[in-house]
Amino acid sequence: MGSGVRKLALTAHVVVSVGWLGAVACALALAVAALASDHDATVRGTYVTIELIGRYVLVPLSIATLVTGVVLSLGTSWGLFRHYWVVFKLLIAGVATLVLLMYMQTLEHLSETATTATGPVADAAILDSPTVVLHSSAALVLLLVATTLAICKPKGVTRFGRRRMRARD
Amino acid sequence: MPEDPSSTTPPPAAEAEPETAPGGDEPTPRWVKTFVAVCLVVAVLFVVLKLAGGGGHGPGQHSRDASASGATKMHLS
Repeated sequence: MGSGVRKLALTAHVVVSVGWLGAVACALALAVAALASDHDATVRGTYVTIELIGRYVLVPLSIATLVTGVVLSLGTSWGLFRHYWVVFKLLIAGVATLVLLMYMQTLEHLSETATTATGPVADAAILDSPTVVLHSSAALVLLLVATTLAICKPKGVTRFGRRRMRARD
Repeated sequence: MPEDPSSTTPPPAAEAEPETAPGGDEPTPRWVKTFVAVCLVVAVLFVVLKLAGGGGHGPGQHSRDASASGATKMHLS
């Protein structure tokens, strides 16, 4: 991968991955607001907004993070499985994306409940559940760990990496 | 005028070269072992909580919770 293409790929990866982290932080803030508020309109609107953020921001950014990360790894000498920090970042992104895709069903259900419940939202116990707060918090921690790995790049070559480097030498 | 060493900026982290392979088999770095250990502990905690909770995990759980508690008073007009 040429220098210009590598920088482009790196820029794309940083933008989408940090954007994903920011969107998760927004979802967490909204989820906390929904739990803390007693105002019906606030709670309803918040869950609808969270579902929209999930569908149009979180899911695309998570997939883009995975794709750009793989492209960047394969196109540079870091490789995809040669260094532990790359492997762990890949695992974190993969697991977080998978859980997010599965969790979209819950977000859609919450949004539907928030919009269709005609009684007070306090009657819909599901909207009082801390599930979104818990999932958003966990995602935030995972993405912060991944970001730290990307910046620090701690040393450690995998066995696969050592074999590849010996073969190259 | 001698060059000020403090003005020399290191290459950006993204451009830093990966470490070269050591000659022999190096032990797994301590941070990797710690990372894996923490992940295992979290996974075990998750399994224990799930078993202790006694319920499923997923959107179906919320549907079951809502209908069981009778709290889904969604009277569609």
